[in-house]
Amino acid sequence: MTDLKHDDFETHITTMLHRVARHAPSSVQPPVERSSATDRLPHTAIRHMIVAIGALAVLGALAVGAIAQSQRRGDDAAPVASSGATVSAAAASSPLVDALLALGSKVELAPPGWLELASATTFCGVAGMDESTAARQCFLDASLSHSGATVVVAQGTAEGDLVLSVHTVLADGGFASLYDATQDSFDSRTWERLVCSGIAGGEIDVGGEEPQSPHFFKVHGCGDAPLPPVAAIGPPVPNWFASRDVAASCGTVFGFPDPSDPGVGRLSADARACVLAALSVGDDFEIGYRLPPEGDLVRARWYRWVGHHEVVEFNGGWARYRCRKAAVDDEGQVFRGALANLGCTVSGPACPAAEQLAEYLRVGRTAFEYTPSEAPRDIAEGMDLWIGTLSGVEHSEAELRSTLMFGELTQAPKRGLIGPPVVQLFQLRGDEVAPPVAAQIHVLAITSPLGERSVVPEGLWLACELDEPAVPVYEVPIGPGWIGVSTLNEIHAALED
Amino acid sequence: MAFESEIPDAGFVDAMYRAHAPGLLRLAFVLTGSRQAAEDLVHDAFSRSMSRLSDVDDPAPYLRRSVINAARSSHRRRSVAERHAMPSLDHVDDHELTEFSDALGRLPIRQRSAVVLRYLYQLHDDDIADALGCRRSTVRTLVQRGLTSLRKELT
Repeated sequence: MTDLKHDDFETHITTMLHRVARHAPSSVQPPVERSSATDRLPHTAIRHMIVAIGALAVLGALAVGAIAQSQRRGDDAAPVASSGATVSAAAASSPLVDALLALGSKVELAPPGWLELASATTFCGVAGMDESTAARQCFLDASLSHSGATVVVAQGTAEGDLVLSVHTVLADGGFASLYDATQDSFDSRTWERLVCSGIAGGEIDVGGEEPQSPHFFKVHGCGDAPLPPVAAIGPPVPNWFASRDVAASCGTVFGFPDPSDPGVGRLSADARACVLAALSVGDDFEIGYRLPPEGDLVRARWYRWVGHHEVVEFNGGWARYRCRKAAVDDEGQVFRGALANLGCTVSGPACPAAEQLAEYLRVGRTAFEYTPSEAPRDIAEGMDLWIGTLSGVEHSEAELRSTLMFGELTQAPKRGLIGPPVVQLFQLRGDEVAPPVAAQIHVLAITSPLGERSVVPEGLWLACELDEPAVPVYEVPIGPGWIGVSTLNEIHAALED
Repeated sequence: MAFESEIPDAGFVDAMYRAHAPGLLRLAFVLTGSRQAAEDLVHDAFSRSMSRLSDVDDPAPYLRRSVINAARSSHRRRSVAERHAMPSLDHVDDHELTEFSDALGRLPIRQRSAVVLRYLYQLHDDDIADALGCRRSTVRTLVQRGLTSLRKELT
């Protein structure tokens, strides 16, 4: 087709639509003469998905039982401090060593220091050959965020012996792994120590005859290496997330598939189908995936449907968002809309935004007809303005002042308070974790609710939309400290114009 | 009894069907690209709406919205493979038409619906917004994005 001007193109579209419509069926029998919609079988694929989701639920229930059983075994078994043990006193009393002893492991033969290192992390539990959901999910979560955690994987050999693997997540994304073959009659009866560089998580295969466990994982890139230092252990996954009610998983994705691949985006078609199936039947689900890192900063996100759409994000710090409205993007590629803030990140000091924004509004009362009794959010909504706040830490000041950060700020608009007020609380300096730093820079953006805007361009194909996504109409840097009356009046005047 | 009045009589059903089914079939077909899916959507829309139609002043927008919602629900449920294989004008020996149908089928369902309602049904923003359950400004955005995508694909 030749290049048409706008009006001509619209006419062309109209013509073509009428031509397509001519091929529509001309009639259909009234509903009273046909079977009801509910009598007809759903698509085969949908049935498969529902079966898969149902299977997940059953497997999950079995896994809970298995874990409870294994933990009971661990609880009931008195820690056996073997004479001549090389495990330190601290490690000997750790849940990890207790569990290993309960499984018959000869911990006294373990390489010096390795179990102590592992014991310094969160112990996820024992994962057997069954669907040990909780222990595996705990480890996968930690692996996505490079948080300190350890899992024991117990496997039986063909001869009936028990071999154990102890995997510990390191802050650089690698793993310190021990292989305990001391109970294997046909092996070396020794411990093997390895450092592994990567992990592959399981994505559920809804189309397969036997769905692959979404909690399956495999570490790879392993080789002999010296004992990593304790400093190589990252902080743990925060309790509020670790203790969440884990929904049926659609997988944990560690790689970055080609985002330009239609129908796939960053996830496999199976993971996507799993989520679609769960959404279509209203089942709870979650899926974890890694975001492209920013420099050395690892980033990960968990998308959950647990009666509401929820996003948990690790971006140096932890934050949780609740989506006011969410839908699967029809094009399947971009995560459109905006995230609504559920609360401040719990990994740092108390969120300062509410008080500071209240003060800012109090100061700006004249310009904005502020009523002191109103909450900041109500005020913002009353003004029909979109007010966004974002705080950063000292070392990211340059970024905050950059266009990119303004872009990110405006990518999370919401009436009232928005965004994670403190997103990064710790600064990594080499292998040393600096103490928490206070928020230094505040940025205010005022926007109007016009149109739609992609808010998480590196995200997936799940849309998480506000009712009225916003685009910025006025932005002003206001840090350190908060905005003054003169600037407020300037903004007001700009908006009036 | 009171609930008996909620069941429309056969005459009313036939009248509603004769008046609205052809237009709804065209809408459903253009949205889905499938004759079978169009028939199912229209049938389902009528099945769900029939008991309420007698209370609706203007059934056309109500039924239109019902078909669009059904199309969106159906679209969400379909597999990726089915979704990307939407057009079904294989029986038509018209390259330009199948190319257009392919491009239309690749539009997100909301964009597709907005374009179809604007250019096939010549509806105003308010009516499209009502049919899609969104704001007028969103309608303009959807139409504009749909046109942009179509222009990009067809030129």
